[in-house]
Amino acid sequence: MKKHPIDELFARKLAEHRQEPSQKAFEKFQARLQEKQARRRGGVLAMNRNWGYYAAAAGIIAALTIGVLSQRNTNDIVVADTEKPKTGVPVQKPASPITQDNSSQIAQTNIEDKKELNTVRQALSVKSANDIVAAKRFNVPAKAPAVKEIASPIDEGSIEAIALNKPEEVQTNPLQAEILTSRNTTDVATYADNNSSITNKYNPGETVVVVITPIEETAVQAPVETETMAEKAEKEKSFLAKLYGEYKHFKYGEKVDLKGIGVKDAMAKVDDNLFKEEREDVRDFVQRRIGRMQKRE
Amino acid sequence: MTRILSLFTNEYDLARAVQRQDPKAQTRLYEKFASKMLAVCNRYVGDKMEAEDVMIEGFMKIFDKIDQFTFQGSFEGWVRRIMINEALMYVRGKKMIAVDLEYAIEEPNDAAFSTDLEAEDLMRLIEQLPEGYRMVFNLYAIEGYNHQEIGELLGISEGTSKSQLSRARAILQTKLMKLEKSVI
Repeated sequence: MKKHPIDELFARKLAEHRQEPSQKAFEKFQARLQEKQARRRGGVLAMNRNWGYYAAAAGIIAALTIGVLSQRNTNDIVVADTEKPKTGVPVQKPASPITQDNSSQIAQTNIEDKKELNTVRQALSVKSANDIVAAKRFNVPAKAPAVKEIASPIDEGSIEAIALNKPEEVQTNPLQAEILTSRNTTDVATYADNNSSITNKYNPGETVVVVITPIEETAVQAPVETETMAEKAEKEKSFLAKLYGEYKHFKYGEKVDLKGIGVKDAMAKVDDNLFKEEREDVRDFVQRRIGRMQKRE
Repeated sequence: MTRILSLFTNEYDLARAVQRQDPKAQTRLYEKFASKMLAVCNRYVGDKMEAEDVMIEGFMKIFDKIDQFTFQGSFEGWVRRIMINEALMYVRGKKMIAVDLEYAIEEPNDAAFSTDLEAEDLMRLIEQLPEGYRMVFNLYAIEGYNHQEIGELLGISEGTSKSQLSRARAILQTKLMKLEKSVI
């Protein structure tokens, strides 16, 4: 459609026409812009005129939350502190449990290994009658390993010093057990003799110091730890886990040790009453057959 | 100024910056379109001082409604439409659209006009038109709106828009002939 000449003239001349605004217009624009921005900023605050109250409330809530959380943390720490001694009690026990452990470990040792002797210097405090009884346990097994020498009693000051070092005794005791496993028979004999002399020589309440000199401490400690770890792991296994282990042995044709896990009889016992009637029926049947055969004859 | 100019090379980048209510971008938008939009506003309002006020209001409206820009088509065209609407609202607010049918003269002929006339001369001729004629002529001849759109924008019928356009052309033709004679 053809455009009207007047329209065409004005469109061509004025479509891209520009008129420079005055500086005053620019200032007005800037003023309006700042006013607008200020209104927008003020608008945010105006929307929340009570923002101070909200901020105060938020601060109180935050403080309370922090307080409660910190209180919980301190309670946890206190609980942990109270629990620690409970778990540590067996460790801090003096000689009696230590000697019991030693006796059990000694009982499990194989004296025929006849390894090179390792000696450890160790102090055992025997204060009470229980300790003496425990000390006697060293003598009880015939296969009991030996202790090279037994020192003379020590004075009371050294007893206190030993008592202070009790945790160290606990750490060194397994080592002693391993050492004792590697004794030869002669040492066992001397150990037995010496131990018998312990109870004869020393009275209850005296401290007996057993001095054993270590040769290769680290080389000896490692297998003891692994053994104890394996034993612990074995003990910690539940009955079902043990049973499953035995089932796997059975599955792969290995020897099954059900007694080891506390099962006395592998075969189920059949109640006699269950087959009582059947047994009587069979008996009657056999008797009848015999009777018939006898009649025929 | 040159630093600000270099920041926004693309119209859409500028629009995005304005959407973020960046003051630098807003100033840049003014600097980029103010002269063109002032001319647009002046064609409708008919007074440069008033047109500047209308233009500033138009820019404020652009900053308010910038989120409505869909990044489809020309950003300048969108700005221009807002400016036109603002100018029309201003004129309506002043109730300047008084169609004086008695003022109309006969239909102009298709006589050719000299292209040597300056844009400012033509602007003056438009400014001298009655408000109603001016609105319709601007919207139809320069902005490219059709009569239906003009009728919706100005709240008049298509017939009124057509008659006003015809009469505006006649007035301009008469004045252009006078102007050419005076120049010669």
